Amino acid sequence: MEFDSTSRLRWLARIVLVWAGFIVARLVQLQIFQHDTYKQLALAQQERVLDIPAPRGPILDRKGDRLALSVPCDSVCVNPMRIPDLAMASEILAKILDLDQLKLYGMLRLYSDSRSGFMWVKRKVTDEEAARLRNLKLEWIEFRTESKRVYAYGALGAHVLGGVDFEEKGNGGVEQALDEELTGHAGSIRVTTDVKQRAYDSKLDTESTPGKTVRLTILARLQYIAERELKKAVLDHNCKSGSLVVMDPKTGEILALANYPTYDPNIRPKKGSDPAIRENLAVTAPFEPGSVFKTITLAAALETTNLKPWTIIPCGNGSITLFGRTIHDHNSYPSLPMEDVLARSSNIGAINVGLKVGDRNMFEYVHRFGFGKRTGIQLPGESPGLLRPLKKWQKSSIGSIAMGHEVSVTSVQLAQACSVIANGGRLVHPKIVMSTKTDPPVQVLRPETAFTMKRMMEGVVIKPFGTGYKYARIPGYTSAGKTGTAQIYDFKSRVYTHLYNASFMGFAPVTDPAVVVVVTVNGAAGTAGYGGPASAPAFREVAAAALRLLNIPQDKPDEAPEMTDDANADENDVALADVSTSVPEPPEFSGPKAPDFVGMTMRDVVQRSAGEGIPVDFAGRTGVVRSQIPPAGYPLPVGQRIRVQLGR
Amino acid sequence: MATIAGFLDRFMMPRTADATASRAGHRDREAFKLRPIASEDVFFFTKRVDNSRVVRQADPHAGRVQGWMIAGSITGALALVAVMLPALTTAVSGYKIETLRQEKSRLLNERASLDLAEARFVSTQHLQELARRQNFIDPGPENVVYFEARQENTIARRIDPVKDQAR
Repeated sequence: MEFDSTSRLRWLARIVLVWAGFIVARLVQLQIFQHDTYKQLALAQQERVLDIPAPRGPILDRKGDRLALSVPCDSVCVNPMRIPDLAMASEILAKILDLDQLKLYGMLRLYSDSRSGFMWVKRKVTDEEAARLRNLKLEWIEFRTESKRVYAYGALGAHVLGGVDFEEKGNGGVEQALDEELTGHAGSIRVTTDVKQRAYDSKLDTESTPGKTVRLTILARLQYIAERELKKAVLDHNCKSGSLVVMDPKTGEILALANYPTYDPNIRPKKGSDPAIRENLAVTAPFEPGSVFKTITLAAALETTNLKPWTIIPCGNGSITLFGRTIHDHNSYPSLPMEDVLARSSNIGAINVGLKVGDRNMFEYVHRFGFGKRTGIQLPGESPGLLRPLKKWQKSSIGSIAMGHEVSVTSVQLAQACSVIANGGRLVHPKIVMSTKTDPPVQVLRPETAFTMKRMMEGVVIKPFGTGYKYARIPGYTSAGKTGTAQIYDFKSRVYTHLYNASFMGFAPVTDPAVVVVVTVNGAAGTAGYGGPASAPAFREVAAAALRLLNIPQDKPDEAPEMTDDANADENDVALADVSTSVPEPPEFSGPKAPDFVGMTMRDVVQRSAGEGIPVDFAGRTGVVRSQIPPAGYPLPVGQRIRVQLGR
Repeated sequence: MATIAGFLDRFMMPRTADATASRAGHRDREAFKLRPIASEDVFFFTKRVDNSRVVRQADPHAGRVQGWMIAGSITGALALVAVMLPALTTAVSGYKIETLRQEKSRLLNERASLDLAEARFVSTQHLQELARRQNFIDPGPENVVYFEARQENTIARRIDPVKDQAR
C-alpha cells in the first residue's frame, strides 16, 4: 500500500514538532529552572577575581626622602601534582632559593601525596632569585606578586622606623605606632576572560586604598651624622650602648634620634639574635641622669628662692653629711657662686641648693619639666621614667635628686627639659611625625629664669673651668649645656658600680637656640668616661652639623686664622655686595636697638638684658659698664650679642 | 528500505488489518526461501542527455528580482553589521582597556622599583661613600658663608660675625 507525499510531510512535521518541543523543554529546563547553577558554572569558568594591591604607605624624612617604602616582589609557589620529578625539583629550587633540599623534598612529597595543588616554596624572594628561576622556564614553577617593605637607607633611623613582620604589620617604631595609617586596604576587581584567558571586561568590586604617606620630622642627613658620632662615642669609650636625640626646641620636632647598637631593619632577626639591639633606648630605657639634672635643681632655685647666679653656695670642702649619709664631691670647694656650682658641677653645691628649694618645690619643678610622665612621642614602648611620689621620698632624697640620682629619665625627656630652658621657659612636647598635632606649649618657667639658666649653662661651656669647656664649644656658634656622669646602679649586688652613664645635654646657638642635643653613653669607665669627655664631643659635632644643615648663621667669630690681604681679596670676591670701600651706614632697621648699658652695674645689666631678652657678654667681673659694642641705639639683628666692658 | 518514505509507510501500514494479515501470511509462506541479496535488484545505468539546444525562456522580471535580492541582501548585511557593531566595538574596547589596565599595573610596579633604586642612590650612606671617594669633607663653620638680603633687596651682604660684632 502506497501513501501520498502530503501524508508523509505531515508526519515529518509532527516529528519535527515533537523534536522541537523536546529542545524547547530542555532549554526551559537549562535556562530557567537551572539558570543559577549554570550561571555560576559559567562565571567560574569565565570570571576571575583579582586583588588590587594597596601598598603600605611610605615613610619620608622631613625633606621628603624615602626612608621606607613597599615594592612588589615575587613569591615562588608550585603545584606538586604537576612536578614530574620531585627530587630534581627540590634540588633545583633548594639550590637557587638557598633552602634545605631534604626539607623541601619532604614538603613536596607530603603535598604531592595529599594531592594538594598548591605549595609555597619561598615567599618574597630577591630579584636575582626570581630572575634565575624564570630563566629556567619550567612550567611547574609559578610566581605570585606580593609586597615587600624595604628600608632604602639600611640601618639609618632603624629604631625610629622600626620594622614590619612577614604580613607587613608594624612591629616596632613608627611602623608599629602608625600601623593603622600606613596599612593599605587591598581592593578587588572581577575580570571576565575569553577562552584563551584574555581579559576583555572588568568590574570593580572594592576600591583599593593605599596606605597613607607618613612624613617624619627626622632629617636623614643629620640622622646619619648623629648615628656616626654616637657610634664613635660609644666605641671610643668602650661603652655598652648609647643614645642621642636632636630636637628643635621651639616646635618639639625630633630632628634625629639615634641609638647604638643598631640594626638593619631589612634583615629579619635570626633565632638567638640579641633583641636588645632593637630597643629604642632613647625612649624606652630610663637611666639616672646624674649632673645634667642640676639644671632642674638650679632652675627651681631661681624660681622659688632668692638665690641668684652670683649667690655664694657653701660646698663643704668636698663632702656633706645629710641625714646620716655622707656624700663626697669629685673636687673640694669651700664655696662657689651658684653659676659656678653648675659650671664646675659641684655635687655638694647642688645639694645645698636643693635643700634651699625643698622637697615640695623640687618635686613640683621636676614634674613641670616633664619628668615622671610620658612625653607623648609617637613611638611605642615609651617609658615615663621614674619620679617617686613626694610621700615616698626619704629625708635624703632631696640631696640625691638635686644631683640627679633617685630619678630615672629617658633621653627624650632630657631633650624636652632642655628645650624648656632653650625656648624661654615653655614646655613643648616632642614629636616625630610631622603632621601630629601636639598640645600647645606650656609656660613652666618664667622667661627671665630661662634666660638666666641659659647664661649659666653657657658658662659650663665657655668658662675655662667649666666641665664642658674642652669638649662642647662649637666653632662659630655659641653653645650651652651641662655634663652629667651618673654611676650605674647594679640591682643584683645593690651597689653603685664604677661604670657611668655619661651624658651631655645642650643647645646652640645660645641667643636663639635652634637645636637641643642630648647625648648619653652607658657603661663608660674612668675619668675619660665622664660626661664631658665621653658625650660632649658628640654634642659638638652633631650640633655643628645640625646648625649647618639648618642654615643657622654663625653668631660668634670662629677660631679661624687671621685673614691675609689675599684672603681679604677672596672675601671681596665672595661679598659681591661690598663694592664700596667705606664702612656702610647701618641700614634702616625697625627691630630692637641696643640699650645704653654704660654706667650700669653688672646686676642692672643682667636684669635689663633679661627683661628685654638681649644676650650680653661681659668682659670683667666688677665695677660698672665702661663701654659697649655695639653702642647704644645701634640696631640689633637676630642673634646679635652686646659686649660690655666692666671696670672701676 | 531505509528511506523516509519507507519509514513513513511502516507507520501507515497498520491502519489496514488486511494488509497486515496478508503480509504476515506472505512472510510465513516464503519463510523457507533464501533472503534476497541486498541491493541485487538495483542497477545503475547512465544516459547522456544533450541539453545544448535547450534555451531558457527569457524572464523580463528576473533582473528586477535579482536587483531586489542584491539590495535586500546588502541592506540586511548592513543592518546586521549596524546591530552588531556596538557589541563588537565594546568587546574590542574591552580587550584594549584590560590590556591597558595590566600595563598600568606593570608600570606602577616598575615605578615602585625605580623609586627604591632612586632612594638607595640618594641615600646618605651612598652619598657619603661617593664623597669619601672624591675626598669631600663636611665644611667647617668657618667655610660656610651666609648672605643676607639688603634693605633694597637688590644685592646680598655677607654676614660676617666678626665685623658685625665690631660695628
